[in-house]
Amino acid sequence: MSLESSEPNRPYGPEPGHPLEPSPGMFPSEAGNGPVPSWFLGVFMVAVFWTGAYLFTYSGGFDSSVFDFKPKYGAAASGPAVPPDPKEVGRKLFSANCITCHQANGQGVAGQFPPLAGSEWVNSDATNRLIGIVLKGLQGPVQVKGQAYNNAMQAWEAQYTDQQFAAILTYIRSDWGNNAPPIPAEAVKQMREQLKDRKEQWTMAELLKMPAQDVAKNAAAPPAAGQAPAPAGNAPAPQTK
Amino acid sequence: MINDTAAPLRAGRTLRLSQAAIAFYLLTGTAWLIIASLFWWLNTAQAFAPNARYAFAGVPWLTYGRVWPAFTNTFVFGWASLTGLGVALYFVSRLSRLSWRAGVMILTAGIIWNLSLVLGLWHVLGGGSTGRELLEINPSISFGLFLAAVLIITWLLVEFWAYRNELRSVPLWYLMAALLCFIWVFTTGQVIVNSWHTGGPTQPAIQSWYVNGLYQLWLVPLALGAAYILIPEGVQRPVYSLALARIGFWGYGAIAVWAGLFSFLGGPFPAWMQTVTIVANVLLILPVLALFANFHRTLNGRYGLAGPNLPLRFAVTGFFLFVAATFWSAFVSFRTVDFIFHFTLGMEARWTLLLAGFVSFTLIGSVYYVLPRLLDRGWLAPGMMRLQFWLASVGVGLLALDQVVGGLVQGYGLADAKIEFSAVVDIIRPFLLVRFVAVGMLFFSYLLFGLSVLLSMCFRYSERTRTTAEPVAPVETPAEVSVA
Amino acid sequence: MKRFTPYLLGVLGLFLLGWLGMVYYPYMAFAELRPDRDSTTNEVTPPGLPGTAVQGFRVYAANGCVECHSQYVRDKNEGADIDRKWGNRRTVARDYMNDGDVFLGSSRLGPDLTNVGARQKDAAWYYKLLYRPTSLNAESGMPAYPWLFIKRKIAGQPSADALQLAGEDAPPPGWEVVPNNDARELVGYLRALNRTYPLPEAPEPKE
Repeated sequence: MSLESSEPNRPYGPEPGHPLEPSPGMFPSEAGNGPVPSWFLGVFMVAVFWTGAYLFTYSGGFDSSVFDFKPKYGAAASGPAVPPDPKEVGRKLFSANCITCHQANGQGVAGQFPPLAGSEWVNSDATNRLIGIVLKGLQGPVQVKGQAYNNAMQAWEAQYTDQQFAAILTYIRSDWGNNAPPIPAEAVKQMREQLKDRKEQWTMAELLKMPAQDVAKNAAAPPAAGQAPAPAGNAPAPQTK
Repeated sequence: MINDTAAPLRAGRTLRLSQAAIAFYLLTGTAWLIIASLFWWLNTAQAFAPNARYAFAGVPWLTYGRVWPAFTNTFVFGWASLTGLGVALYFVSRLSRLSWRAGVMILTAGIIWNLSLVLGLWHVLGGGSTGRELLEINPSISFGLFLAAVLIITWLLVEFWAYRNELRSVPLWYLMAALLCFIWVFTTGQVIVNSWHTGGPTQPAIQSWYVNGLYQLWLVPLALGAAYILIPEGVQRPVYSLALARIGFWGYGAIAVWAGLFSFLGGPFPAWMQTVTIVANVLLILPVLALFANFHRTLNGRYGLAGPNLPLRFAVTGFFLFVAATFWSAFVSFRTVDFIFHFTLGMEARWTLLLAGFVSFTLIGSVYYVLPRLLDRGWLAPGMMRLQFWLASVGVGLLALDQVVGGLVQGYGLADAKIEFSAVVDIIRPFLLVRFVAVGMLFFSYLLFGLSVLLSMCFRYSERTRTTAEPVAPVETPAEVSVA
Repeated sequence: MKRFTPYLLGVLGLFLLGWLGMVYYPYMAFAELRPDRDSTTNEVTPPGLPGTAVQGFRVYAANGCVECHSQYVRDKNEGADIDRKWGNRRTVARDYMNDGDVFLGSSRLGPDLTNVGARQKDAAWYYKLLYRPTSLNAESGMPAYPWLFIKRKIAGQPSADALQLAGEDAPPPGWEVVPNNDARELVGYLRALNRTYPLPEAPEPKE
């Protein structure tokens, strides 16, 4: 389609005959009837197809909270929420609160705060005592790994939920070379119920009076008749992921 | 009927105000080009020798990080935008037979623009830069730029709408679209980023769109409009195909506006925004192919005329650089290629080809075309002008090549974490040196260009000076017509 | 295309589409960003910036640090940034939500600074670098910023943050080189650049 001009051939130029305009007017006012080359249509089709495929594959579903272009990331981000790893949650909680006394390496402070790494209290099957300590606190002298420590630990029961206690305890039972089974939230709940009337912190003597009981295992595997008790300490940890 | 703005001056006729205003834009734009390239040259020297006394090490207002924004701002807002506005005003007037009535406003806006830029430059060098690309000038000063741009372009659109409400030719589509887009892009950047001071991730997202918009929606359409005049004029033939011109125009407009995140690929933006940017950069090849087919068929058999005819020569060379720039940005936008080239010298190659190449070449060609017609002046010293062309061409070619190869070396170095970072910086030193040499060639080329303009101002038109730059094209032979 | 009105509507319409997608949409989407509150630890990420850091923006911008230093870490699929230990995960939009100015940068003539505050905590190191980069790395391509420092006669006790300079840089006896206010603010900002906290939308890559 040409631009049909009702004007003569050089309608827009300056005065004809002026020495600056020896050429017959300006050409751009006209455009020819040249056809679109046939290869252009082919290129166009390929481009349309490619655009669709590329956008579909790499746009993360046009979701503004998806940042990685690889399709697998997009699927994971929009899938069902993965429950957090209790050890990871426990590590965060530990570094937020417990680290001040027990230290990041779990070694505690000589004479004052007992270590958690390799501690018989932490790795023990007497999980009722362990849970009792974090719930109600502990004061006075205490023996850990043959060393004496003397300071006070506050009662934490009001600070955390059962799940959070379970996460912290599961974490300290698995890091720094510790390898004890995880503590489920039900066990913490059970101990909380059992100790609900206790107001004061424990002493070591009182703790040892409490009969040792693996509330963790009982809660994790609800009493099933005829089930042989697993060997203590090294039972494969039931994964709560 | 002759319109006053675009009619050539003749002996005994006084200069119209709108003509004087356009000349003011072209001349100050040329001056800014020389200033900008001086900053650029200094900047490349500083990159090569950061602590050398000749690179003004230790001088706070000429430190690397202040010279760079001084260069980009003077280049884009001083040279390209001012000259571009002047060229657009002239061509729109001439093509639509519209005489600008707003001579006073054009001149006032030009003066405000120049003053704001001088103030802004002083402020940036003095340590007042905002650190946002192409918005470095303090908001209260760049409001002057904003005001000038909005005033003049809005008024011109109103005049066009009121008096000459038709688009009779292809270049007019581009020129009017460029003016329209410039207001919108400039408003977006100045208002959302600068005035509202939007922080957080919104800021770089909008700002990179704004920078890309200035390049691809303002300067490129402007230069394409000029190319659609200079090329058919130079070969004395109409444009080959209206259909191809339509595909090129609408295709470019529909796609370029999506290409905004180019410089932040891999950045903290949602995957879809980056993917859309990549797709847009690749798809731009389509309209550019249409443009290429159109120009090539128009020029076919008469490429030889680009030898003696300087405006044509600049326009044709510039357009080929545009094709190269388009293919290069499509290539590097792919994530696997971006992995290597991102953050390297290779990213600058696009800028070199697009801004120092296509836009500058076409604008220089336009100045060579417009000034004698506007002011009844002629060009002298053809040898100098040819030298200017060759310095610019070799400079841009060498610079782009250096940036691509240097970017490749730097990119492979950065992609290998076993190579220490300082070793990567060390290995590209030779490329920084070549860049310094290439930009030096560009500086001297622009200096010669300024000298040509200055000389032409001193001599009236004569038959000799007229044909220096633009010899009359021979009448087409029948054989040539059949080729086209 | 002889009439102006349909042409105008076409150009403006195409432009509006792109503008809505690439400007308006992120503007609205990013405005809805909220900090992430960890359900177990109650830790809020990203943390806000300290006051000195906010002041330091200005100095960072004024001297054009952004021309050579980037501030974003790319995914493993898109760059070697994580391998270079510039971050332990990619950065995402939420990392920048508290920043008044965001200097992403597009060139790496200098190293990435996304997490420079986590790598280098010592203020004296930054002062030394700014005063004379080659004193820390002879091959450094960074220019020196001597105007961020004051050389003055020691009155009474030497200042606590006076630079420990040796060799040709050392001031004459009885004199000291101390950072000025701009340098303090800038270093405060750089030391606050620490985006090593976790964010759910940007998990750390598993090797």
